[in-house]
Amino acid sequence: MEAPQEGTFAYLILAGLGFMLLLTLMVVIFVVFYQRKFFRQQREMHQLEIRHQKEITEGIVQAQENERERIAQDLHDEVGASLSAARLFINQIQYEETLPDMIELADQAHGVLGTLVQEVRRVSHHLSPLVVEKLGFTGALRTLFQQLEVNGLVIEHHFSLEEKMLNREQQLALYRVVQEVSVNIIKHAEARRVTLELTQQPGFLRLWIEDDGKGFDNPKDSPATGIGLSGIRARASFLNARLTMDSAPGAGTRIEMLVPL
Amino acid sequence: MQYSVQQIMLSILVIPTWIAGIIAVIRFRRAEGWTKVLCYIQFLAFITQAYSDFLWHRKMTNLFLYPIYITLEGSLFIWMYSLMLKSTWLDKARIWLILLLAFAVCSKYFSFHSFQDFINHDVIDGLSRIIEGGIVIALVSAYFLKSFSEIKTPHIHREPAFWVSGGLLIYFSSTIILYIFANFARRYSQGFNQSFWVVHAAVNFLLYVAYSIALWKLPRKERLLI
Repeated sequence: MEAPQEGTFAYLILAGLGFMLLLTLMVVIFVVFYQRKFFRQQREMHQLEIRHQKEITEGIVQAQENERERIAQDLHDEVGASLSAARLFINQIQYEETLPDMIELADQAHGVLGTLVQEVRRVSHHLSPLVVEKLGFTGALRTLFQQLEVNGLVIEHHFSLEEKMLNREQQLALYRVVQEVSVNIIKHAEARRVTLELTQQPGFLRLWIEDDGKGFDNPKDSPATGIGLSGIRARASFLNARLTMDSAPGAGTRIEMLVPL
Repeated sequence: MQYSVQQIMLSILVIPTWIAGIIAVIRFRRAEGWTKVLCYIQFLAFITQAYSDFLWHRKMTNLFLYPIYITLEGSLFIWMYSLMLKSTWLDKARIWLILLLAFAVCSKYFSFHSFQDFINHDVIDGLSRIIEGGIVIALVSAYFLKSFSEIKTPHIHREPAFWVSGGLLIYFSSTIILYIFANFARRYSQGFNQSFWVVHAAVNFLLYVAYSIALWKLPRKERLLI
């Protein structure tokens, strides 16, 4: 067998070297371009994160403002009005000449003050997380529903969860979400029946709230937008939950929240 | 004394080694951390190249320099990447990797009876270069992986570490083939052997150009203003 020519060896080795050179050059060029692309993607993601954080902060601020507005409104409409009425009754007593008239006015003042005490208790319950600590998460929700049913609303609820699976912050955030949704339903939905389900599923907790109210076309057109929805969104974000809302004019509203456990 | 075309090309292609050495001297005060080690590598290459050329012009064998150079250069690469990657694992493994490389390179010479045998031996130590190349390619890959996981700049080509790593990856990936056939080429024919080393010098040229760019791009040391 004839020995290979010098040129053949040279070509073979050069071809191998050329191939390796090309391959490594491609790797280096790939690194440059991929790194640039990756950097751009990371920057975009970072900006999205900042925007999201900003939205959450705005939501929290908005929720605080709404809460203050509601407290101010409650104090003005209920407490303020009742106190004015009580003051009037008490003031009137000095002008009455007969004892029965005085007693009647005192009774009326007593009635107004009794209502006022209840009202203050309601506002206090609404504000304080103690209700969740005292009665437990589901107990607090049941108490909330009893208060809401006074407004003529029929609430069907179904709980299937272990409370200890949720920590204190999660329980409070979920309680506030239900509270916020309920207030929106009473104020804006004109609903008669509300269904609420809290079911624990593998890896997450599902909160489902459905009402038979007037609904709305677009969440942006919802009367609840800017009032309670920003607070609900902020709390959903705090819980790392997925929040979906479905509504149509005349077809009620359905809210689903999936909270990872 | 007449030189062949290949010999003239070899002398020209070695110029970036001198340039990189000079830039390393100029930039030495700016260098810190891993870039200081890069300067040491250039000084080592500069001195070895000068001594090797001196022996070559005097028609003396310079092949005994290979194991010494590979051990020192490989150790400096390991040290440089342990500083560059800031990896605790590599910090701990650094000394063992250096000892392993030194043992792998020197074990072949334990059978020599005298130092003169070592000086006169006439075989290119291709295997040691391949071992060094394997270690360097692994370190370079670690650098590129880290550059993906901790992206700090959209322009990686402005980073000195990128030029060093890119140059080393190209050099060692390409020359592994050359070192496998180095002793075969030497025995095959003188012309083939010289062409062989011209190709090596061309890849080496790219490596030292990359070193020079990296050293030139070294940022200034930040000064504290009081």
